[in-house]
Amino acid sequence: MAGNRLAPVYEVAGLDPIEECYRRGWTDGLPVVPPTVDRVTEMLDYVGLAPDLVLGEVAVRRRVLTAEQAAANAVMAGCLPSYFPVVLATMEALFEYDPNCIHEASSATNSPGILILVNGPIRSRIGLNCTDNLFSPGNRANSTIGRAIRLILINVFEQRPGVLDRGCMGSLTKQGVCFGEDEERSSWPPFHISRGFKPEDSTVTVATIQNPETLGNRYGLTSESVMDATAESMAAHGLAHYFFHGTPWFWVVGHWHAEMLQRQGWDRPSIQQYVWEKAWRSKAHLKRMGAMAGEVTPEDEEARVFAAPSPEDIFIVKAGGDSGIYSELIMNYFGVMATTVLIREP
Amino acid sequence: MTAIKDTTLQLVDPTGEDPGLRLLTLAPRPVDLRGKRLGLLDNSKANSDFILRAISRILDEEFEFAEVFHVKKHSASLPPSPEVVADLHRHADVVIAGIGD
Repeated sequence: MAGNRLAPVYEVAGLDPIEECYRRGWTDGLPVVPPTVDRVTEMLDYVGLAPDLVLGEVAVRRRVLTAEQAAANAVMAGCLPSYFPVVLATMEALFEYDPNCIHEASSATNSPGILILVNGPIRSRIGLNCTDNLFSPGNRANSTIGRAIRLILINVFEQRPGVLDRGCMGSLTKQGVCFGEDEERSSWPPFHISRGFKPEDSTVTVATIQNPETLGNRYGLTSESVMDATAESMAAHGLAHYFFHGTPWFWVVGHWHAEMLQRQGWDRPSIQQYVWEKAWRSKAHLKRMGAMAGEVTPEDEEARVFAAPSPEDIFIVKAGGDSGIYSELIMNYFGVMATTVLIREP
Repeated sequence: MTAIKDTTLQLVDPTGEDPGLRLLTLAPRPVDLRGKRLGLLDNSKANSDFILRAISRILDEEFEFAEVFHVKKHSASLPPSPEVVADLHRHADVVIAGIGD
């Protein structure tokens, strides 16, 4: 589908271009790489897209996203052209799930960020961190891909904090959460295989998320202890029960937790089943805490509300460093339920 | 100190196209609420129905509505679906939209 517009090009003379981007309101608060015509063209040429190609439309905002706008924001975020296919696949996943979710995810007061999980061979080609410190700043691909998505939301769809982004507490995840699975040091099949893709495919899995929680089960000597601790954290999260049927979760299993689970013979389905069965609270308990609405009835004492709708809604991903014994638990909540799409590389 | 050479850069506008002004026409305002059909548009959040029903009870005492029609959005953060809007057109002369939580 062809668009009908090329973005305006501004001549900027005798000014600091970074400050000019601030002046025009194009940033997320941090300095951006000025989206010069040369840089934007290089980004578009890498993927072979026409600048006016319409990638999608958010009807409720009456805005479309063109390839050129996506490229300009990817440049500003600091992306290399080789990262651009991941940015495009992430936007494709959002549009595929529901274009209006781009509005919904920002208007939501619970402040979800957008998780981008990458699988497949593109991880090594773009130098995506899948191991030590993978959620920290410090690695260009991880830091800039997620940031590009946020800049698109801000600049193209006006999802600015305080304007159309109505987050109450905001979220650190809105800086961008992009990481890869540590497929090379895992005996579980890569996550995207469980979503119907082939090992040689590169994919993104995109989901709106709440702030992650670090799981510090360091003294457990059995797989059951690790899974019990994980189930406990899931069940204790009040938001999990808000919809009365649970919500999906990413359990990003750190190296040593995964090593023990794998050594002791636990595969994905058996972990999912074990954790799902244990991650629940009684309806009475949740009502007393105010995590569910309504008066407590006698039946509520026995009624179980599970933190995840089904075992398959607990996504097991192996990633992280080996300097400590930690995992990360991430709730997939409100906006975009995990959606996996192929990354198309040139 | 060496002066930085004055250069001209061409920057691509990364922002979305402003859809521009669109002429909207408001529905005619009713001159009197008495005997009208009242629509309540619940945004689907907790307590939204509670506050809307409380408001409609108070108003009903004064205006004696012919009918009170209650309908719920599928998502608090998205506009009502076309079916919900059509239902309101069919069943209500005036609508109160409310938010809960």
